Amino acid sequence: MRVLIVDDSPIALALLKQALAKGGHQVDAVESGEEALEWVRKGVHRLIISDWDMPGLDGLALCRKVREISTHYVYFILLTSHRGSDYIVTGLSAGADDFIVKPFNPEELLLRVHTGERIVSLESRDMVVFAMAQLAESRDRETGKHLERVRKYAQLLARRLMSVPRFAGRLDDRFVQLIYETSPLHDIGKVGIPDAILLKPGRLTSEEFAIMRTHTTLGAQMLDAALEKFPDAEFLRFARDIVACHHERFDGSGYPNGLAGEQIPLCARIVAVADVYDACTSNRVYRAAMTHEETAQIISDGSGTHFDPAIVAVFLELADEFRRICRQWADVALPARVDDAAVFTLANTAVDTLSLTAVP
Amino acid sequence: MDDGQLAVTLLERFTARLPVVIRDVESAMAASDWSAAAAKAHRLRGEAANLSAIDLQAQATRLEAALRAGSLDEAAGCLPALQSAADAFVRSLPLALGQIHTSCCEATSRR
Repeated sequence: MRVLIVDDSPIALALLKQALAKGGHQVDAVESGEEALEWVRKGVHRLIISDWDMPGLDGLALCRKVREISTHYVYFILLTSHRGSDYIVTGLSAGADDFIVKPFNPEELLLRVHTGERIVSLESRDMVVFAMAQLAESRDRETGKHLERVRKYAQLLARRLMSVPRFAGRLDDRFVQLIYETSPLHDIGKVGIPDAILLKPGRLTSEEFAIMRTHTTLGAQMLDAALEKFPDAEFLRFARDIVACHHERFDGSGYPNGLAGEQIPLCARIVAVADVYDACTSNRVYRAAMTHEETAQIISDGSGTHFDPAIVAVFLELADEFRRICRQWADVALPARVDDAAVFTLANTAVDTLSLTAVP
Repeated sequence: MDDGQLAVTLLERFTARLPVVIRDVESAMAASDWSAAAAKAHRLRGEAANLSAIDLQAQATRLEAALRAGSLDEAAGCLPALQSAADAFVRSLPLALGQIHTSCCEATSRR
């Protein structure tokens, strides 16, 4: 990882640099907060280690600046000779993530940097996954809240299902976190559907509908290709199951493979309910949004045919929470186009994240 | 640069600057610039700690604390002890460098 170190003492800098380089990190070293700020504006580093006491812009002020101007999350470690909870509270309030007491122990330093590396990679992974999903979605939706709502509905259902005996042992906090992170990708395969079909205002012909249905297999193929590169990436496998199977139906009448019951991965059965609920309660060009009650009736009627009855039962218990999310994340109009700077940042973040993910 | 070489370089650099650093602290105190003096004492303490110059670190810490507390007489009283800790550090340097050299040679011959 590329680390920025800031200390007004060249001796401290030399020692830090040596320890970090031994840990395999690429290091940029500067002797003042002002020089560090120039690097921060370039947005190159995801992790900064800064001395607290420096003339001019000190570690605390630098940390506040980083929080103010960085477009992505930067893990900030303060080096300090101060001990005691007052100092920790001051440092944390300025936005620092961790502290290292001087003189530092090189092993401790590397462990703390490793922790920072993990946190930064998780954060940027979630961001990239969501941004990828948004790009795919931006072609056929007028608004951007659909993905946010679907991930919240899916998370809610998954968390409640943890207490259902039939799912004991298959559902845990990790599952809930993964469904939250990856459910926004459910329609990622739509990037491969031609505009003439995806954006067609009227009813699709049966040929067109057949092409539309391939968004499940197209999306699964994209994620399979990624899985070949990163076979241990659990979240990719999870996302693949959702993408491939969220249009399967419990009675085997869905697509693309006509899977039934337990053959359909649990995460996809959950997302199926979340996605249909959101589709019904959203406005469409050809119809107004349905109420929660009308939608709940449709989902209830689909219990055992379209949906897993256990998930429908849990959904019915969660009516208030579904209504609340639906209201809180109601659609607003999106800007007309994505600006180039945002796409550029996204592309850079994606490259960073892939290189981070590749580290075992 | 291996650890031994780095230690030698840093110790020599620190020792070369030590008289200037102490003079700077004294000048800041003479000019009644207490916060600058405290900042300089702080940095000296940090660097001494990094290089395991324990006594020098302790004396610099005392001086910094006195300056930050505004106990100016006490701060002035810290200066002789700081100077003698610095002298002792400089006297012990050849021995320290010799030990680094020996341990580096041992490490190399064990390889």
